[in-house]
Amino acid sequence: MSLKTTYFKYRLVGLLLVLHSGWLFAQSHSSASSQAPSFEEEMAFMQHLFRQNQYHNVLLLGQQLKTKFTQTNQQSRLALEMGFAHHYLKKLDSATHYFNQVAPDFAQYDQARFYQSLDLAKLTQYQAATQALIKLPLTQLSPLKTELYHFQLAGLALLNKKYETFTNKAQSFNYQYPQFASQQKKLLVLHEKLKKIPRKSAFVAGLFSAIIPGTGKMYAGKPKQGLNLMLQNLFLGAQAVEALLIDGVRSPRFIIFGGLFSIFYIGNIWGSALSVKLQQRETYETIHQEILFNLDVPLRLVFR
Amino acid sequence: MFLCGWFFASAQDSLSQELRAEQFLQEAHQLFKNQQLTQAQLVYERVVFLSKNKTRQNEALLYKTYCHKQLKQFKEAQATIERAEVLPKQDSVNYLLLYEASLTAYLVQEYKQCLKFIDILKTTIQDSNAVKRITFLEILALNETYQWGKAKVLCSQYIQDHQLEQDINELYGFVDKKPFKSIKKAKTLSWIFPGAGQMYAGAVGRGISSSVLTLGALTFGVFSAINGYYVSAFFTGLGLGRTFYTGGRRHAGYQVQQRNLRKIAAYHQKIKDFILQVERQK
Repeated sequence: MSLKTTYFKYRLVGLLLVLHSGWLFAQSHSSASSQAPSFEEEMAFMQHLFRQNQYHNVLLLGQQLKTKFTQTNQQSRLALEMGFAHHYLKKLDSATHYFNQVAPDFAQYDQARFYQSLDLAKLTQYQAATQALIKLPLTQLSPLKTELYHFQLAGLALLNKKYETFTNKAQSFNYQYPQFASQQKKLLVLHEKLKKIPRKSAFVAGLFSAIIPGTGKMYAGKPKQGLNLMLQNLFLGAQAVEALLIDGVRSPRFIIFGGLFSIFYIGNIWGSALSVKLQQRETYETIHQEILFNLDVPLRLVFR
Repeated sequence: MFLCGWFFASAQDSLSQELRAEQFLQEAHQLFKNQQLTQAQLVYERVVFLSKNKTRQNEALLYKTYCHKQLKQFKEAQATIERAEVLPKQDSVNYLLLYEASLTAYLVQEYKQCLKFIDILKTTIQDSNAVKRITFLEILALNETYQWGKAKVLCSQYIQDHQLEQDINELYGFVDKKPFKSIKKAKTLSWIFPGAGQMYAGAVGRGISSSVLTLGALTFGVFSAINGYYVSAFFTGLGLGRTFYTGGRRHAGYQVQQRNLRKIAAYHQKIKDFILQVERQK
Protein backbone atom coordinates (compact mmCIF):
# COMPACT_ATOMS: atom_id res chain seq x y z
CA MET A 1 0.00 0.00 0.00
CA SER A 2 2.64 2.48 1.08
CA LEU A 3 4.91 1.48 -1.81
CA LYS A 4 2.09 2.02 -4.25
CA THR A 5 1.31 5.42 -2.74
CA THR A 6 4.95 6.51 -2.93
CA TYR A 7 5.15 5.35 -6.57
CA PHE A 8 1.99 7.28 -7.38
CA LYS A 9 3.35 10.38 -5.61
CA TYR A 10 6.58 10.29 -7.64
CA ARG A 11 4.67 9.95 -10.86
CA LEU A 12 2.45 12.90 -9.90
CA VAL A 13 5.46 15.08 -9.03
CA GLY A 14 7.13 14.08 -12.29
CA LEU A 15 4.02 14.97 -14.25
CA LEU A 16 3.76 18.30 -12.46
CA LEU A 17 7.39 19.09 -13.24
CA VAL A 18 6.91 18.33 -16.90
CA LEU A 19 3.79 20.48 -17.02
CA HIS A 20 5.53 23.28 -15.15
CA SER A 21 8.52 23.22 -17.50
CA GLY A 22 6.21 23.22 -20.50
CA TRP A 23 4.34 26.19 -19.10
CA LEU A 24 7.59 28.08 -18.40
CA PHE A 25 8.88 27.36 -21.89
CA ALA A 26 5.63 28.50 -23.49
CA GLN A 27 5.61 31.59 -21.30
CA SER A 28 9.18 32.48 -22.18
CA HIS A 29 8.45 32.07 -25.88
CA SER A 30 5.28 34.08 -25.77
CA SER A 31 6.91 36.84 -23.69
CA ALA A 32 9.90 36.94 -25.98
CA SER A 33 7.83 37.13 -29.10
CA SER A 34 5.01 39.43 -28.07
CA GLN A 35 5.78 41.46 -24.92
CA ALA A 36 7.40 44.88 -25.23
CA PRO A 37 9.96 45.71 -22.52
CA SER A 38 8.43 46.87 -19.24
CA PHE A 39 9.18 50.30 -17.78
CA GLU A 40 11.66 48.83 -15.30
CA GLU A 41 13.45 46.98 -18.11
CA GLU A 42 13.64 50.19 -20.09
CA MET A 43 15.07 51.96 -17.06
CA ALA A 44 17.69 49.23 -16.66
CA PHE A 45 18.65 49.77 -20.31
CA MET A 46 18.82 53.50 -19.71
CA GLN A 47 21.19 52.94 -16.78
CA HIS A 48 23.34 50.84 -19.10
CA LEU A 49 23.45 53.79 -21.53
CA PHE A 50 24.52 56.08 -18.68
CA ARG A 51 27.30 53.65 -17.73
CA GLN A 52 28.50 53.74 -21.36
CA ASN A 53 28.38 57.59 -21.34
CA GLN A 54 25.91 57.47 -24.26
CA TYR A 55 23.96 60.53 -23.17
CA HIS A 56 22.58 61.29 -26.63
CA ASN A 57 21.12 57.78 -26.69
CA VAL A 58 19.59 58.36 -23.24
CA LEU A 59 17.80 61.37 -24.69
CA LEU A 60 16.71 59.45 -27.79
CA LEU A 61 15.33 56.61 -25.67
CA GLY A 62 13.75 59.05 -23.23
CA GLN A 63 11.86 60.82 -26.04
CA GLN A 64 10.52 57.46 -27.27
CA LEU A 65 9.48 56.31 -23.81
CA LYS A 66 7.70 59.53 -22.92
CA THR A 67 4.87 58.69 -25.30
CA LYS A 68 4.72 55.02 -24.21
CA PHE A 69 4.74 55.40 -20.42
CA THR A 70 2.37 58.14 -19.37
CA GLN A 71 1.89 57.60 -15.63
CA THR A 72 3.00 60.55 -13.49
CA ASN A 73 5.75 58.56 -11.75
CA GLN A 74 7.06 57.22 -15.03
CA GLN A 75 7.07 60.69 -16.59
CA SER A 76 8.94 62.05 -13.55
CA ARG A 77 11.55 59.29 -13.74
CA LEU A 78 12.06 59.97 -17.44
CA ALA A 79 12.32 63.71 -16.83
CA LEU A 80 14.93 63.07 -14.11
CA GLU A 81 17.05 60.81 -16.32
CA MET A 82 16.81 63.18 -19.28
CA GLY A 83 17.77 66.03 -16.96
CA PHE A 84 20.89 64.09 -15.98
CA ALA A 85 21.73 63.32 -19.61
CA HIS A 86 21.59 67.05 -20.39
CA HIS A 87 23.54 67.77 -17.19
CA TYR A 88 26.38 65.47 -18.28
CA LEU A 89 26.28 66.93 -21.80
CA LYS A 90 26.66 70.35 -20.12
CA LYS A 91 23.42 71.58 -21.71
CA LEU A 92 22.42 73.23 -18.49
CA ASP A 93 19.38 75.13 -19.77
CA SER A 94 17.75 71.91 -20.95
CA ALA A 95 18.85 70.09 -17.78
CA THR A 96 17.05 72.60 -15.54
CA HIS A 97 13.96 72.36 -17.79
CA TYR A 98 13.76 68.58 -17.33
CA PHE A 99 14.60 68.63 -13.60
CA ASN A 100 11.75 71.10 -13.20
CA GLN A 101 9.31 68.58 -14.72
CA VAL A 102 9.81 66.09 -11.87
CA ALA A 103 6.59 65.95 -9.80
CA PRO A 104 6.72 66.73 -6.04
CA ASP A 105 5.30 63.33 -5.09
CA PHE A 106 8.05 61.47 -6.95
CA ALA A 107 10.55 59.61 -4.76
CA GLN A 108 13.60 61.41 -6.17
CA TYR A 109 12.03 64.87 -6.19
CA ASP A 110 14.70 66.16 -3.78
CA GLN A 111 17.48 64.99 -6.12
CA ALA A 112 15.87 66.84 -9.05
CA ARG A 113 15.59 70.05 -7.02
CA PHE A 114 19.20 69.91 -5.79
CA TYR A 115 20.54 69.36 -9.32
CA GLN A 116 18.23 71.97 -10.83
CA SER A 117 19.53 74.44 -8.27
CA LEU A 118 23.16 73.57 -9.04
CA ASP A 119 22.68 73.92 -12.79
CA LEU A 120 20.90 77.25 -12.36
CA ALA A 121 23.82 78.41 -10.21
CA LYS A 122 26.21 77.40 -12.98
CA LEU A 123 24.11 79.53 -15.32
CA THR A 124 24.63 82.40 -12.79
CA GLN A 125 20.87 82.49 -12.09
CA TYR A 126 21.43 82.55 -8.33
CA GLN A 127 17.94 83.79 -7.41
CA ALA A 128 16.25 81.03 -9.42
CA ALA A 129 18.70 78.49 -7.95
CA THR A 130 17.70 79.51 -4.42
CA GLN A 131 13.99 79.35 -5.36
CA ALA A 132 14.45 75.81 -6.74
CA LEU A 133 15.88 74.65 -3.41
CA ILE A 134 13.31 76.48 -1.26
CA LYS A 135 10.56 74.44 -2.99
CA LEU A 136 11.80 71.37 -1.09
CA PRO A 137 9.64 70.25 1.87
CA LEU A 138 12.26 70.59 4.61
CA THR A 139 10.33 68.48 7.15
CA GLN A 140 10.38 65.45 4.85
CA LEU A 141 14.14 65.51 4.29
CA SER A 142 16.54 63.20 6.13
CA PRO A 143 19.05 64.87 8.50
CA LEU A 144 21.81 64.37 5.90
CA LYS A 145 19.80 66.04 3.17
CA THR A 146 18.69 68.82 5.52
CA GLU A 147 22.34 69.62 6.22
CA LEU A 148 23.05 69.44 2.49
CA TYR A 149 20.12 71.80 1.87
CA HIS A 150 21.59 74.41 4.23
CA PHE A 151 25.07 73.89 2.76
CA GLN A 152 23.80 74.49 -0.78
CA LEU A 153 21.85 77.58 0.29
CA ALA A 154 24.98 78.92 2.00
CA GLY A 155 26.98 78.35 -1.19
CA LEU A 156 24.35 80.17 -3.25
CA ALA A 157 24.42 83.10 -0.82
CA LEU A 158 28.19 83.26 -1.27
CA LEU A 159 27.85 83.22 -5.05
CA ASN A 160 25.24 85.96 -4.81
CA LYS A 161 27.63 88.01 -2.61
CA LYS A 162 25.12 87.92 0.29
CA TYR A 163 27.81 87.48 2.90
CA GLU A 164 25.56 88.04 5.93
CA THR A 165 23.18 85.30 4.82
CA PHE A 166 26.18 83.03 4.28
CA THR A 167 27.53 83.73 7.77
CA ASN A 168 24.11 82.92 9.30
CA LYS A 169 23.86 79.66 7.35
CA ALA A 170 27.48 78.69 8.01
CA GLN A 171 27.00 79.06 11.76
CA SER A 172 24.56 76.15 11.68
CA PHE A 173 26.98 73.76 9.85
CA ASN A 174 27.58 70.68 12.01
CA TYR A 175 30.41 69.16 9.88
CA GLN A 176 29.32 65.62 10.83
CA TYR A 177 28.70 64.25 7.33
CA PRO A 178 31.92 63.04 5.67
CA GLN A 179 30.33 63.46 2.20
CA PHE A 180 30.67 67.24 2.44
CA ALA A 181 32.29 68.23 5.74
CA SER A 182 35.50 69.29 3.96
CA GLN A 183 33.48 71.31 1.43
CA GLN A 184 31.71 73.09 4.28
CA LYS A 185 35.11 74.12 5.67
CA LYS A 186 36.27 75.11 2.19
CA LEU A 187 33.29 77.48 1.81
CA LEU A 188 34.43 79.32 4.92
CA VAL A 189 37.90 79.74 3.41
CA LEU A 190 36.42 80.99 0.14
CA HIS A 191 34.23 83.42 2.05
CA GLU A 192 37.37 84.90 3.66
CA LYS A 193 39.02 85.12 0.23
CA LEU A 194 36.02 86.95 -1.22
CA LYS A 195 36.00 89.42 1.66
CA LYS A 196 39.70 90.12 1.14
CA ILE A 197 39.33 91.10 -2.53
CA PRO A 198 40.27 94.78 -2.44
CA ARG A 199 37.70 97.15 -3.87
CA LYS A 200 39.72 99.11 -6.39
CA SER A 201 38.52 102.22 -8.19
CA ALA A 202 38.70 102.60 -11.95
CA PHE A 203 39.00 106.37 -11.45
CA VAL A 204 42.06 106.00 -9.20
CA ALA A 205 43.69 103.64 -11.74
CA GLY A 206 43.07 106.19 -14.52
CA LEU A 207 44.44 108.99 -12.34
CA PHE A 208 47.61 107.02 -11.54
CA SER A 209 48.17 106.36 -15.24
CA ALA A 210 47.62 110.03 -16.07
CA ILE A 211 50.28 111.09 -13.54
CA ILE A 212 52.82 108.33 -14.29
CA PRO A 213 51.92 106.13 -17.29
CA GLY A 214 51.79 102.41 -16.40
CA THR A 215 51.22 102.85 -12.66
CA GLY A 216 47.45 102.44 -13.16
CA LYS A 217 48.05 98.90 -14.43
CA MET A 218 50.34 98.23 -11.48
CA TYR A 219 47.57 99.45 -9.13
CA ALA A 220 45.11 97.10 -10.94
CA GLY A 221 47.41 94.19 -10.09
CA LYS A 222 49.35 93.78 -13.33
CA PRO A 223 52.88 95.04 -12.53
CA LYS A 224 54.62 93.55 -15.60
CA GLN A 225 52.13 95.11 -18.02
CA GLY A 226 52.49 98.37 -16.10
CA LEU A 227 56.28 98.41 -16.46
CA ASN A 228 56.00 97.59 -20.16
CA LEU A 229 53.58 100.46 -20.75
CA MET A 230 55.74 102.82 -18.71
CA LEU A 231 58.76 102.10 -20.95
CA GLN A 232 56.70 102.43 -24.15
CA ASN A 233 55.44 105.86 -23.04
CA LEU A 234 58.92 106.86 -21.95
CA PHE A 235 60.44 105.96 -25.35
CA LEU A 236 57.80 107.84 -27.33
CA GLY A 237 57.73 110.76 -24.91
CA ALA A 238 61.52 111.14 -25.07
CA GLN A 239 61.45 111.26 -28.87
CA ALA A 240 58.63 113.82 -28.82
CA VAL A 241 60.61 115.99 -26.39
CA GLU A 242 63.73 115.65 -28.55
CA ALA A 243 61.79 116.75 -31.65
CA LEU A 244 60.28 119.67 -29.71
CA LEU A 245 63.64 120.85 -28.44
CA ILE A 246 65.43 120.58 -31.79
CA ASP A 247 62.74 121.42 -34.38
CA GLY A 248 60.04 123.24 -32.42
CA VAL A 249 56.35 122.71 -31.94
CA ARG A 250 55.32 122.96 -35.63
CA SER A 251 57.85 120.47 -36.97
CA PRO A 252 56.51 117.30 -38.66
CA ARG A 253 58.81 115.16 -36.49
CA PHE A 254 57.28 116.60 -33.28
CA ILE A 255 53.73 116.26 -34.67
CA ILE A 256 54.32 112.57 -35.52
CA PHE A 257 56.04 111.60 -32.27
CA GLY A 258 53.81 113.85 -30.19
CA GLY A 259 50.71 112.37 -31.83
CA LEU A 260 51.94 108.83 -31.26
CA PHE A 261 52.77 109.61 -27.65
CA SER A 262 49.31 111.17 -27.09
CA ILE A 263 47.55 108.11 -28.50
CA PHE A 264 49.59 105.78 -26.29
CA TYR A 265 49.16 108.03 -23.24
CA ILE A 266 45.36 108.32 -23.52
CA GLY A 267 44.98 104.64 -24.42
CA ASN A 268 46.98 103.74 -21.34
CA ILE A 269 44.69 105.76 -19.05
CA TRP A 270 41.59 104.14 -20.56
CA GLY A 271 43.16 100.67 -20.42
CA SER A 272 44.12 101.04 -16.78
CA ALA A 273 40.57 102.02 -15.79
CA LEU A 274 39.16 99.03 -17.68
CA SER A 275 41.72 96.58 -16.32
CA VAL A 276 40.63 97.30 -12.72
CA LYS A 277 37.13 96.03 -13.56
CA LEU A 278 38.46 93.11 -15.57
CA GLN A 279 40.93 92.06 -12.90
CA GLN A 280 38.18 92.12 -10.24
CA ARG A 281 35.85 90.13 -12.47
CA GLU A 282 38.56 87.53 -13.09
CA THR A 283 39.23 87.17 -9.36
CA TYR A 284 35.52 86.74 -8.56
CA GLU A 285 35.14 84.30 -11.46
CA THR A 286 37.98 82.09 -10.20
CA ILE A 287 36.52 81.95 -6.68
CA HIS A 288 32.99 81.35 -8.03
CA GLN A 289 34.23 78.37 -10.02
CA GLU A 290 35.78 76.97 -6.85
CA ILE A 291 32.49 77.46 -4.97
CA LEU A 292 30.52 75.71 -7.73
CA PHE A 293 32.96 72.80 -7.70
CA ASN A 294 32.53 72.48 -3.94
CA LEU A 295 28.73 72.49 -4.35
CA ASP A 296 28.86 69.86 -7.12
CA VAL A 297 30.97 67.20 -5.38
CA PRO A 298 28.64 66.60 -2.38
CA LEU A 299 25.63 66.09 -4.69
CA ARG A 300 27.47 63.32 -6.51
CA LEU A 301 28.44 61.69 -3.22
CA VAL A 302 24.96 61.90 -1.71
CA PHE A 303 22.82 61.05 -4.73
CA ARG A 304 24.62 59.17 -7.53
CA MET B 1 13.18 19.92 -6.19
CA PHE B 2 12.98 23.65 -5.45
CA LEU B 3 16.66 24.05 -6.39
CA CYS B 4 15.99 22.20 -9.59
CA GLY B 5 13.00 24.45 -10.27
CA TRP B 6 15.12 27.56 -9.64
CA PHE B 7 17.85 26.40 -12.02
CA PHE B 8 15.20 25.56 -14.56
CA ALA B 9 13.55 28.96 -14.25
CA SER B 10 16.91 30.73 -14.44
CA ALA B 11 17.83 28.83 -17.60
CA GLN B 12 14.44 29.69 -19.04
CA ASP B 13 15.00 33.38 -18.22
CA SER B 14 18.36 33.51 -19.94
CA LEU B 15 16.94 31.64 -22.94
CA SER B 16 14.11 34.13 -23.13
CA GLN B 17 16.61 37.01 -22.82
CA GLU B 18 18.67 35.63 -25.70
CA LEU B 19 15.55 35.17 -27.81
CA ARG B 20 14.58 38.77 -27.23
CA ALA B 21 18.13 39.91 -28.04
CA GLU B 22 17.93 37.99 -31.31
CA GLN B 23 14.58 39.61 -32.12
CA PHE B 24 16.02 43.06 -31.44
CA LEU B 25 19.03 42.20 -33.59
CA GLN B 26 16.74 41.39 -36.51
CA GLU B 27 14.78 44.60 -35.89
CA ALA B 28 18.04 46.58 -35.86
CA HIS B 29 19.17 44.95 -39.12
CA GLN B 30 15.86 45.98 -40.69
CA LEU B 31 16.32 49.57 -39.50
CA PHE B 32 19.91 49.54 -40.79
CA LYS B 33 18.69 48.30 -44.15
CA ASN B 34 16.13 51.12 -44.26
CA GLN B 35 18.91 53.62 -43.43
CA GLN B 36 17.26 54.60 -40.13
CA LEU B 37 20.74 54.69 -38.67
CA THR B 38 20.22 56.69 -35.46
CA GLN B 39 17.41 54.38 -34.40
CA ALA B 40 19.30 51.29 -35.57
CA GLN B 41 22.39 52.05 -33.46
CA LEU B 42 20.18 52.38 -30.36
CA VAL B 43 18.57 49.00 -31.01
CA TYR B 44 22.01 47.43 -31.58
CA GLU B 45 23.04 48.84 -28.20
CA ARG B 46 19.97 47.17 -26.68
CA VAL B 47 21.16 43.86 -28.10
CA VAL B 48 24.54 44.37 -26.43
CA PHE B 49 22.71 45.11 -23.17
CA LEU B 50 20.37 42.13 -23.35
CA SER B 51 22.61 39.41 -24.71
CA LYS B 52 25.23 37.50 -22.78
CA ASN B 53 26.36 35.82 -25.98
CA LYS B 54 29.70 37.37 -27.02
CA THR B 55 29.24 36.47 -30.69
CA ARG B 56 25.88 38.24 -30.80
CA GLN B 57 27.30 41.22 -28.88
CA ASN B 58 30.16 41.46 -31.37
CA GLU B 59 27.75 41.40 -34.30
CA ALA B 60 25.67 44.17 -32.73
CA LEU B 61 28.75 46.26 -31.97
CA LEU B 62 30.07 45.81 -35.49
CA TYR B 63 26.82 46.97 -37.06
CA LYS B 64 26.53 49.81 -34.55
CA THR B 65 29.99 50.91 -35.72
CA TYR B 66 28.75 50.84 -39.32
CA CYS B 67 25.82 53.07 -38.31
CA HIS B 68 28.09 55.63 -36.62
CA LYS B 69 30.49 55.55 -39.56
CA GLN B 70 27.69 56.25 -42.02
CA LEU B 71 26.49 59.06 -39.77
CA LYS B 72 30.08 60.39 -39.83
CA GLN B 73 30.29 60.00 -36.04
CA PHE B 74 33.80 58.58 -36.14
CA LYS B 75 34.61 59.10 -32.45
CA GLU B 76 31.49 57.14 -31.48
CA ALA B 77 32.33 54.49 -34.09
CA GLN B 78 35.79 54.05 -32.60
CA ALA B 79 34.46 53.89 -29.02
CA THR B 80 31.90 51.26 -30.11
CA ILE B 81 34.23 48.93 -31.96
CA GLU B 82 36.80 49.04 -29.16
CA ARG B 83 34.17 47.42 -26.90
CA ALA B 84 34.10 44.28 -29.07
CA GLU B 85 36.09 41.23 -28.02
CA VAL B 86 38.29 39.11 -30.24
CA LEU B 87 37.04 35.53 -29.79
CA PRO B 88 38.92 32.31 -30.50
CA LYS B 89 38.23 30.40 -33.73
CA GLN B 90 36.28 33.24 -35.36
CA ASP B 91 38.80 34.45 -37.90
CA SER B 92 36.38 36.10 -40.31
CA VAL B 93 34.51 38.05 -37.60
CA ASN B 94 37.75 38.93 -35.80
CA TYR B 95 39.11 40.28 -39.08
CA LEU B 96 36.07 42.55 -39.49
CA LEU B 97 36.31 43.76 -35.89
CA LEU B 98 40.02 44.53 -36.07
CA TYR B 99 39.70 46.05 -39.53
CA GLU B 100 37.00 48.44 -38.28
CA ALA B 101 39.03 49.22 -35.14
CA SER B 102 42.02 50.18 -37.33
CA LEU B 103 39.92 52.12 -39.81
CA THR B 104 37.99 54.14 -37.21
CA ALA B 105 41.27 54.93 -35.40
CA TYR B 106 42.63 56.23 -38.73
CA LEU B 107 39.47 58.26 -39.34
CA VAL B 108 39.80 60.02 -35.97
CA GLN B 109 43.47 60.68 -36.83
CA GLU B 110 44.84 58.38 -34.11
CA TYR B 111 47.43 56.89 -36.43
CA LYS B 112 49.55 55.15 -33.79
CA GLN B 113 46.43 53.46 -32.42
CA CYS B 114 45.54 52.45 -35.99
CA LEU B 115 48.96 50.82 -36.45
CA LYS B 116 48.57 49.06 -33.10
CA PHE B 117 45.30 47.45 -34.24
CA ILE B 118 46.88 46.48 -37.56
CA ASP B 119 49.66 44.72 -35.63
CA ILE B 120 47.06 42.86 -33.52
CA LEU B 121 45.22 41.89 -36.72
CA LYS B 122 48.42 40.56 -38.27
CA THR B 123 49.17 38.38 -35.24
CA THR B 124 45.58 37.23 -34.68
CA ILE B 125 44.29 36.46 -38.17
CA GLN B 126 45.59 33.26 -39.75
CA ASP B 127 44.34 33.98 -43.28
CA SER B 128 47.23 35.69 -45.09
CA ASN B 129 44.96 36.99 -47.86
CA ALA B 130 42.78 38.73 -45.30
CA VAL B 131 45.86 40.30 -43.71
CA LYS B 132 46.96 41.61 -47.11
CA ARG B 133 43.62 43.41 -47.51
CA ILE B 134 44.59 45.89 -44.77
CA THR B 135 47.97 46.80 -46.30
CA PHE B 136 46.51 49.93 -47.86
CA LEU B 137 45.52 51.26 -44.43
CA GLU B 138 48.92 50.42 -42.97
CA ILE B 139 50.65 52.40 -45.75
CA LEU B 140 48.43 55.41 -45.11
CA ALA B 141 48.95 55.25 -41.33
CA LEU B 142 52.72 54.80 -41.73
CA ASN B 143 52.78 57.89 -43.96
CA GLU B 144 50.94 59.94 -41.37
CA THR B 145 53.46 58.90 -38.70
CA TYR B 146 56.33 59.83 -41.10
CA GLN B 147 57.61 56.23 -41.29
CA TRP B 148 58.21 56.65 -45.02
CA GLY B 149 60.89 53.95 -45.28
CA LYS B 150 58.54 51.23 -44.03
CA ALA B 151 55.66 52.69 -46.03
CA LYS B 152 57.72 52.64 -49.24
CA VAL B 153 58.63 48.95 -48.82
CA LEU B 154 55.02 48.08 -48.09
CA CYS B 155 53.75 50.16 -50.99
CA SER B 156 56.06 48.49 -53.52
CA GLN B 157 54.81 45.12 -52.21
CA TYR B 158 51.24 46.41 -52.60
CA ILE B 159 51.92 47.46 -56.21
CA GLN B 160 53.46 44.04 -56.91
CA ASP B 161 50.52 42.17 -55.31
CA HIS B 162 48.02 44.10 -57.39
CA GLN B 163 50.13 43.77 -60.55
CA LEU B 164 50.03 47.51 -61.17
CA GLU B 165 52.23 49.57 -63.46
CA GLN B 166 53.19 52.25 -61.01
CA ASP B 167 56.71 53.49 -60.39
CA ILE B 168 57.29 53.49 -56.65
CA ASN B 169 59.78 56.36 -56.97
CA GLU B 170 57.05 58.52 -58.43
CA LEU B 171 55.21 58.18 -55.12
CA TYR B 172 58.09 57.94 -52.65
CA GLY B 173 60.89 59.71 -54.54
CA PHE B 174 60.78 62.50 -51.99
CA VAL B 175 62.12 60.16 -49.28
CA ASP B 176 65.57 59.87 -50.93
CA LYS B 177 65.69 63.29 -52.60
CA LYS B 178 64.71 65.08 -49.37
CA PRO B 179 63.18 68.14 -51.04
CA PHE B 180 62.48 69.77 -47.67
CA LYS B 181 64.04 73.09 -46.78
CA SER B 182 66.15 73.63 -43.70
CA ILE B 183 64.84 75.84 -40.89
CA LYS B 184 68.42 76.50 -39.76
CA LYS B 185 69.42 77.63 -43.25
CA ALA B 186 66.43 80.00 -43.45
CA LYS B 187 67.36 81.57 -40.11
CA THR B 188 71.00 81.94 -41.16
CA LEU B 189 69.97 83.61 -44.43
CA SER B 190 67.74 86.04 -42.52
CA TRP B 191 70.64 86.71 -40.17
CA ILE B 192 72.89 87.64 -43.13
CA PHE B 193 70.24 89.67 -44.96
CA PRO B 194 66.78 90.49 -43.51
CA GLY B 195 63.99 88.86 -45.53
CA ALA B 196 66.27 86.38 -47.38
CA GLY B 197 65.07 83.48 -45.19
CA GLN B 198 61.43 84.08 -46.14
CA MET B 199 62.39 84.28 -49.83
CA TYR B 200 64.27 80.96 -49.45
CA ALA B 201 61.04 79.50 -47.98
CA GLY B 202 59.18 80.65 -51.08
CA ALA B 203 57.35 83.57 -49.43
CA VAL B 204 58.84 86.31 -51.64
CA GLY B 205 56.26 88.98 -50.69
CA ARG B 206 56.80 88.44 -46.99
CA GLY B 207 60.56 88.47 -47.54
CA ILE B 208 60.43 91.83 -49.34
CA SER B 209 58.22 93.38 -46.64
CA SER B 210 60.55 92.07 -43.92
CA SER B 211 63.56 93.60 -45.74
CA VAL B 212 61.81 96.96 -46.21
CA LEU B 213 60.67 97.18 -42.57
CA THR B 214 64.01 96.17 -41.04
CA LEU B 215 66.21 98.19 -43.36
CA GLY B 216 63.78 101.12 -43.25
CA ALA B 217 63.94 101.26 -39.45
CA LEU B 218 67.72 100.95 -39.41
CA THR B 219 68.12 103.61 -42.11
CA PHE B 220 65.85 105.93 -40.15
CA GLY B 221 68.09 105.33 -37.14
CA VAL B 222 71.28 106.11 -39.07
CA PHE B 223 69.86 109.32 -40.59
CA SER B 224 68.50 110.39 -37.21
CA ALA B 225 71.92 109.90 -35.61
CA ILE B 226 73.67 111.82 -38.41
CA ASN B 227 71.23 114.74 -37.94
CA GLY B 228 71.61 114.76 -34.16
CA TYR B 229 68.35 113.04 -33.17
CA TYR B 230 70.09 110.55 -30.88
CA VAL B 231 67.01 109.56 -28.88
CA SER B 232 65.03 108.74 -32.05
CA ALA B 233 68.06 106.96 -33.50
CA PHE B 234 68.32 104.78 -30.43
CA PHE B 235 64.65 104.02 -29.70
CA THR B 236 63.04 103.95 -33.14
CA GLY B 237 65.99 103.15 -35.38
CA LEU B 238 67.82 100.64 -33.25
CA GLY B 239 64.90 99.42 -31.11
CA LEU B 240 62.37 98.97 -33.89
CA GLY B 241 65.01 97.73 -36.36
CA ARG B 242 66.23 95.09 -33.91
CA THR B 243 62.62 93.95 -33.27
CA PHE B 244 61.96 93.53 -37.01
CA TYR B 245 65.34 91.81 -37.49
CA THR B 246 64.93 89.15 -34.77
CA GLY B 247 61.21 88.74 -35.53
CA GLY B 248 62.04 88.28 -39.22
CA ARG B 249 64.46 85.45 -38.40
CA ARG B 250 61.85 83.62 -36.33
CA HIS B 251 59.26 84.18 -39.05
CA ALA B 252 61.61 82.73 -41.71
CA GLY B 253 61.92 79.51 -39.65
CA TYR B 254 58.13 79.34 -39.30
CA GLN B 255 57.66 79.88 -43.05
CA VAL B 256 60.02 77.00 -43.88
CA GLN B 257 58.22 74.73 -41.39
CA GLN B 258 54.83 75.57 -42.94
CA ARG B 259 56.18 75.03 -46.45
CA ASN B 260 57.60 71.63 -45.51
CA LEU B 261 54.28 70.59 -43.93
CA ARG B 262 52.39 71.65 -47.07
CA LYS B 263 54.81 69.63 -49.21
CA ILE B 264 54.47 66.55 -47.01
CA ALA B 265 50.67 66.87 -47.14
CA ALA B 266 50.84 67.06 -50.96
CA TYR B 267 53.04 63.92 -51.18
CA HIS B 268 50.71 62.06 -48.80
CA GLN B 269 47.69 63.14 -50.81
CA LYS B 270 49.25 61.82 -54.02
CA ILE B 271 49.86 58.42 -52.40
CA LYS B 272 46.40 58.44 -50.82
CA ASP B 273 44.74 59.21 -54.17
CA PHE B 274 46.63 56.35 -55.81
CA ILE B 275 45.81 53.81 -53.09
CA LEU B 276 42.15 54.78 -52.79
CA GLN B 277 41.77 54.54 -56.56
CA VAL B 278 43.13 50.99 -56.46
CA GLU B 279 40.89 50.08 -53.53
CA ARG B 280 37.80 51.50 -55.26
CA GLN B 281 38.49 49.42 -58.35
CA LYS B 282 38.60 46.17 -56.33
